[in-house]
Formats: sequence, C-alpha cells, structure tokens
Amino acid sequence: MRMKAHSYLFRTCLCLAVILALIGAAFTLSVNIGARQIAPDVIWRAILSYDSRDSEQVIIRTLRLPRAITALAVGASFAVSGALMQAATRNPMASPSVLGINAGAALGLAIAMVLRPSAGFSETVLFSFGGAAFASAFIFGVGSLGSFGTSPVRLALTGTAIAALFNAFSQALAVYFKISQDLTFWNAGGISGVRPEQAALLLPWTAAGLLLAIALSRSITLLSLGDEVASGLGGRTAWIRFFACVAVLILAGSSVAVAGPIGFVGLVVPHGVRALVGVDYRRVIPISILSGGLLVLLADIVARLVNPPFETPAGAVTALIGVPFFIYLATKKQ
Amino acid sequence: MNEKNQEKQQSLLRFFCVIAVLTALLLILFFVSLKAGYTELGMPQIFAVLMGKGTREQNLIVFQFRLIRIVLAILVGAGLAVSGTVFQTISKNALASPDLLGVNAGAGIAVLLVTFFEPEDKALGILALPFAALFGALVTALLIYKLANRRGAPLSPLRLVLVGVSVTSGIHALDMILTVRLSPERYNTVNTWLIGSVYGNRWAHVLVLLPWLAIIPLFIYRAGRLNLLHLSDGVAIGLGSELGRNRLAALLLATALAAACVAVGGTIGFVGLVCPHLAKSLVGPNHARSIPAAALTGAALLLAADLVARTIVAPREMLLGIVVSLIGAPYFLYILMTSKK
Repeated sequence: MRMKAHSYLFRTCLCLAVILALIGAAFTLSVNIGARQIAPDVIWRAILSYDSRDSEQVIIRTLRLPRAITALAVGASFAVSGALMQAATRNPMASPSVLGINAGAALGLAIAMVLRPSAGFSETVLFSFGGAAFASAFIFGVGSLGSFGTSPVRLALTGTAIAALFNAFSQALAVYFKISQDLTFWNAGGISGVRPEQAALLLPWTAAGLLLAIALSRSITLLSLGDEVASGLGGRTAWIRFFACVAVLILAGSSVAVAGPIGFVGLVVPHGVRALVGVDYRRVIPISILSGGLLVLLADIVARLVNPPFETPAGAVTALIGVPFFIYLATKKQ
Repeated sequence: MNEKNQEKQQSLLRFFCVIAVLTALLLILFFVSLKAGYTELGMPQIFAVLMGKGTREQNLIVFQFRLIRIVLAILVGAGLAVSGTVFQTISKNALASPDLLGVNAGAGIAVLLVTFFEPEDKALGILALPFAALFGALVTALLIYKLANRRGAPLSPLRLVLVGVSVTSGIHALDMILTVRLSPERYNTVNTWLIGSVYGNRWAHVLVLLPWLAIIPLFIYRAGRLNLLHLSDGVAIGLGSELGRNRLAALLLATALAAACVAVGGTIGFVGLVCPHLAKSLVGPNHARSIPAAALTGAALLLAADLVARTIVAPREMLLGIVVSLIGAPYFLYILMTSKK
C-alpha cells in the first residue's frame, strides 16, 4: 500500500514535469504560428520589454498571447468541471457538454445578445452562469423524476436531449433576432477572436473556480467513493455536492461565455488523468487543470493549421478527438 | 368469440376514425398553408387558382412558392415518420429513429460533399442526390451498428442510441470543418439545408423525391412481414419467417426512405422518433395501421412546423428544423423518462 502511494506520487511528479514541458512548447508554438510567423525572441521581447511601435510585438500582445492564455484557462476549466461532475455523480460519462450545461450557458448568452446587445463581458457572463444553472437544475430535476439515477447511459441520453432542446432555443433566437452569424461560429467553440480585455475578465472567474475545486478535492475524493462511505468518513455530502456544483457553474459558465461550448474536454481529460495518477482527486484536479489547458491549446493550434488562412472552430477539433473516446466509454463493459 | 369480434370491430373503427381525423387535419393545414404568407389569399381565390382560373401573379405565388414547399413538407414528413416506424420495429426499440441512429447525419454529410464541394461545371444533378445520401446513410448505420454491438451480449437499445447520438455529433464536427471555408452566402445556404428546411426548392425536387416514397405503400403491403419482425425472434422463426432476409430488406428500404428525404429536406430531426410513437399509441402496433397513421402524423407535423416557421417571423423565415426540434426534444425527454429500464 505504501509502495503504491509512493509510486503514484512519483508518477504524479513525472506527469507534472512532462505536461509542463509540453505546455511550454505548445504555448510557444501557439504564439508563433499564424498568418505571420513571428520569431521566438520577438515573443520574449513582447512579454518582457514591450514596444508598441513594433507591429509584431503588437500582434503578440493583443492577439496571440490573449488567445493562448484563454485556451489554457478554458481548457483547465472544462477539464476540472468534468472531473468534479464525474466524481459527484459517479458517472463516467458526465461532463458539462454531455449533460447539457454548456448548451444552457450558450442559451443564456444568446439571450444576453438579444436583451443587452451592447453589454460587456462582465455582464454577459452572468447570463451565461444563469443559463448553466438553469440547465443543471433542469437535468437533475428530470433525473430525479425518471428512474435512471443509476444508469450512466440513460443520464447521458437525457443530457443529450436537453442539449438539443437548448440548442434549438438558441438557434431560434439567433434566427429571430438575426444574430445567426455572430452565434454560429461562437457556438461551435472557437477562441480565435478573443480580445485582451475578455481574457483579463475571464481569468478571475477561472482562478476562483479552480481554487474552489482544489479546496474541494479531498471531499470530492470521498464523494467519488459513494455516499455511504463519504458520510461515514464525516463528509457532508449535500454541501460537497452544492459547492462542486457552484465550481462547475463558475468554470463552465465563464468559459462558454468566452470560447463557446468546446465539447468533450471535460469528458476525456479526467479519464486520462485518472489512468495516469490514480483516483485521488487531490492529484486528479491539479493534473486535470494542466492537461485540459494543454488539450485546448493544441486543439486551437490544429484549428489554425487545418485550413489556413481560415479558422476552424476548436470545438470541432475536440469533438473529433472526443467522439471516439465517448463511444468507447458508452460501449465498454460496465 | 363474439366478444373478440366486437373488439376487433371497435379497433378497426378506431383506426378509421384516427385516419379520418388526421386526414381532415392535414387538409385544413394544407389550405391554411396555401392561404398564409406575405400575400394573403382568400379561400375563393385559392379555389380559383387550383381550378386554373387564377391571375398570373396568383399562379406564381401558389404553384411556384407555396405549393412546392407544402408538397415537400408532406412528403418528407411522411417519409421520415414511416422510416422511423420501421426502424423501431426492426430494433424493437422505442428510441430508434433515423435521426438518433445517425442515418440523417450520414446522409447529410454525403449530400454536403457531393453538392457543395463539386466543381460547378460537372454537377451530378439532383437525381443523384438520394443515391449519395443513401450511400452515406448506409455507411453510417453500419458503423454505428458495429460499434454498439458487443459480441456475446444482446444489443442494448440505450447504448445503440447513445452511440448513434455521439457518431452524429462527430459528423456535425466534420460538417463544421467542411463548411467554415465557404463564403458567407454559401455558408448560409448550406447551414439552412443542414438544419432542415423545405424553402427554396423547385418542382424537380418533388419529382426526385416522389419515386422513393413508393417505399411507403410497399411497407403497408408487406405489413404482415413487418409484424413478424416485431415478435421475438424465436416466435417469428417458428412461424416460418425468413427473419434475416426480411430484416435486412426492411432496414435497407427504411434507410433509403430516410436518406431520400434528407437529400431534399435536410437533416430534420425528431420526426422519425415522435410520429411513430404517436401513431402506435393511437392505432396500436399492427403495421397495416400504424404505418398509414405515422405517415399522416409526420406529414401533418412537418406541414404545421413549416407553417409556423414561415409565419412567426414573416417576412423572414424561421428554419423548419428548429421548430421541429422545439417540439421533438421535449417529446424525446418524455419517452426517455417513461420508458422502462
């Protein structure tokens, strides 16, 4: 047992080192690649000694860096949301996109675009939280009415149906109020148009959500063992669930507000992480933060390379990775 | 015996009542659809136009704009609903339907590839579209079946649908990657078609679709065989049915029917799920009755949805597929919640 704990600790440190190195490489690549290739030394100068007369440095400061940072933040948020949801529902298929929470946040944003077209990010993000909260209340309401608390497949299908419903409402609003073009690309999940102000406003929410998740990690591990075990070991399951839900809403809601519903990150990453470092969420959550960020950073790079100079939505790239994995989960023996 | 006869007569009577009511509903929707629109036409005028005594302008409105989309909505609705009925029978699964099983999405991406990425000068022509759609649909259906089927275990209905839904979302991602490179106008056209719409078609589309709908009477004619498929495999074999061949033939025909509808109307969801369910609850599981009832329900649903789609934001258009989803998704939830474990 002790041996095992040691080996997991060793693996965690190893993962940490490898992922950090990969993030460093991907981050440089992400800032480097685009319509205009920019040399790495300019990147350093843009960060350390910014000169607003140099157009390359301006590109980096106003376009590339916000984009890369947003990718990291959004990826971390979705991955941690997925980890929290999978632990709290003890359902391997739970994630903000599968259970319709992203679609709810997207509907909230569509409503924001209609009601307050000129509103800034700090206001629209509240609509996004509202939509996400409504969707999660909806799915757990429906879930408690039906008889499928125990079947992961059934819960996943219910989430799909709810997502379809919310998407239809968003589309209807988009067509009705002629915001279709704004909404379509954003709905597909893309971080190409992120502005520095948006990135700056996103980061406090991301930080708050991630800190809450890390603070919860011990209790979440208990919860993932089952309600009896958790309450037997002194955990207050209702409160843990409530705070986990708050963290998910903050993380998923703020990320959807900036980048659109990038799917499957929250589904795939926690599985990979648990396979690497075990089921203790004190390790799973930090590693998920890093790997989720890495995944979206890479997806965003691929999205730029698929069909230059056009941008492909990063959500489409993550879906192409996530769908086979989801099918594997849905069909493997329980 | 006498009691049983009476029961039989009652259910037959019920069937005719349902058919009569649905037909009446369809007729009402038909005339309301002809009437409503940017230029409001009165009933006498419509009759005059239909008799061939309209003015040129009225003829144009009725025959070139309204009648095409009405006929297409009816045909596509009927086709998708009947296809859904047969899918549900073959898989013995109340959730099976061409859209949830990925058939619509597969047909959609095939049509997308053929029509929108082909050089203009060697256009295949719309006659070929249903075949392309059928090819895409068959490949997708086969893929989903292979993925969901676990050797040595019975095919779980929910797992089948979940795999179908996820393959569909993968295909949507591919759609997206393919369409972002299009120009904004072209993108709008493609997106409209992908979500589902019967707007902007020509009579040629009706003619292309019509032969494929001959599958519906064929299904009604072969209702006895479909009824056998609904029984448990052992009973059906005991009754002397060639189960394998029957099932394969029914599957192919149902896929072809859905694919042809998608080729013309786009990937309209939920019709194939909702209508068979409604039809069976109205007239019972016998296919000789449930197929005509499903066809009428589907036609009425799509016609009503199209009417809403083009009047609610007139003079602009809401997309038909969106209206159908707003009705269909809650119904899907309802089926999920009430179906047994």
